[in-house]
Amino acid sequence: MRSVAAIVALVLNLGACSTANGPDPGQSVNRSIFGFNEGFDKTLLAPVATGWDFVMPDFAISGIDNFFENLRMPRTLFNDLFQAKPQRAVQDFGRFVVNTTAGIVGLIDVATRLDIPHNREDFGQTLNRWGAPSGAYVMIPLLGPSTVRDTIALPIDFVMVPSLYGSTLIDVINVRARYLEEVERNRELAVDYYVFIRSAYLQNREASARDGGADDADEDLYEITEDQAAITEEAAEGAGVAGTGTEPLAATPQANP
Amino acid sequence: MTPRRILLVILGVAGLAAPASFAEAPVDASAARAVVEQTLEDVIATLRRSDLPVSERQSRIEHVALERFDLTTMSRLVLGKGWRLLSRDQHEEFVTLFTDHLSAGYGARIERYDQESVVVLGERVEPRGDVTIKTKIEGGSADGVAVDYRLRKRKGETEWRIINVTIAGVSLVSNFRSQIAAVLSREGPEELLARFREISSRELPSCCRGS
Repeated sequence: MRSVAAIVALVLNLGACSTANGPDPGQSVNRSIFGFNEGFDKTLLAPVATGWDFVMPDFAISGIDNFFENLRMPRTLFNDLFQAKPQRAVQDFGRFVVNTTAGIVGLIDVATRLDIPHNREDFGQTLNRWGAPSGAYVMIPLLGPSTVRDTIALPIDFVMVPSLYGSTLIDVINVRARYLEEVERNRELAVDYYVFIRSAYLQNREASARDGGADDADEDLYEITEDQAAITEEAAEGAGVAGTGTEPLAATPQANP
Repeated sequence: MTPRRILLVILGVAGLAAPASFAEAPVDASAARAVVEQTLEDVIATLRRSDLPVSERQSRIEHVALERFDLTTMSRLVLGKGWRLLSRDQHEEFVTLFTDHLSAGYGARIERYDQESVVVLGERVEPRGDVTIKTKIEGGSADGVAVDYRLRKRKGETEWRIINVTIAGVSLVSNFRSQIAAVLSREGPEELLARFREISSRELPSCCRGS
């Protein structure tokens, strides 16, 4: 009976350590590093990437992207093995071989056309699988959002990716060029961009750790408290805001001139 | 995942699993699935109408989305506990601002459409009688990205409407809730509304900037 209790405690505890709204004890330091990263991006990286996007044809940008994705496959493969996922290891080995050969050193993503799934694993996920809690959220200068666990994993991931001389720089610029509009839009639309990034990063990491399995969605998120329900029902009667779906619709045309 | 399975078994044995009341009211998950399928079909059909100007496609998609999203419920969910901090007038204004905010954000993605399609993978009945529909994007730059829609049927209504979208594990409601909680705790409700107003005032030109 004691061992059952121990398992429950362990499972619950691990769950608690990896909630989407993970701990951020160093928020003030993280926010200033974030500010620095944003400054770096706005003044240097994004302008360079905009130039890159301007001079490079679309097929080149996606080809370069495929090339670097392919270089990252050994990392995924090693971590499949570390996590004892033989089926995925076979898929990822197949993907790497097909894209390196038929896909001409990875420039063409032939594997996707052959419906070979594209898995992404890193050592942070392996540590998670081994039971390591994510720890605090941290913002790393130039590298961006991470957690204590993922930061510890970084050097190990680094040695698993074959690095060609100076290639990381091209990789970074090319990836940044692919997301010029998205980043701009997210910046514009965020109510608190720091929190937007933190929430998105932590949730996405949690989902990666689940490998697309059933998510243990935080059910509290979907709760409407009694007083909330009472207030909105009243408001609905008074103003018609909460009525049928067509009413808010009528209220929106000003969104497109 | 094994640890979760262990937990489920333990909870089941301990009699802590979902109470029988969930089982009593059968949830018509297929109707919820039909809503998502119809929505996706309408949206993709509109996206493919390259003969129409972007602004026309955008307003058609907004029209479809606003019919199928339950923006009042979403507003309550994203405000969470902060709902109590807002007055009745502020609630009303928030729903309008949040609706505009989502239309601006979604509508603006249209120009990036490159022939991807969406496959509906399955549905799952959730606690509270909600239903989650799991889908996956195929083709384009977002190939393989999982998109889940959570739907709810409000008391006394017959239509299922979308109350959350989760893209690659990132839940829209949860993400907004964290942001809103941060602003509310630092600056209060009036500043929160001001922030939304400010964003929608500068979002307009940028959404229509593209060709």
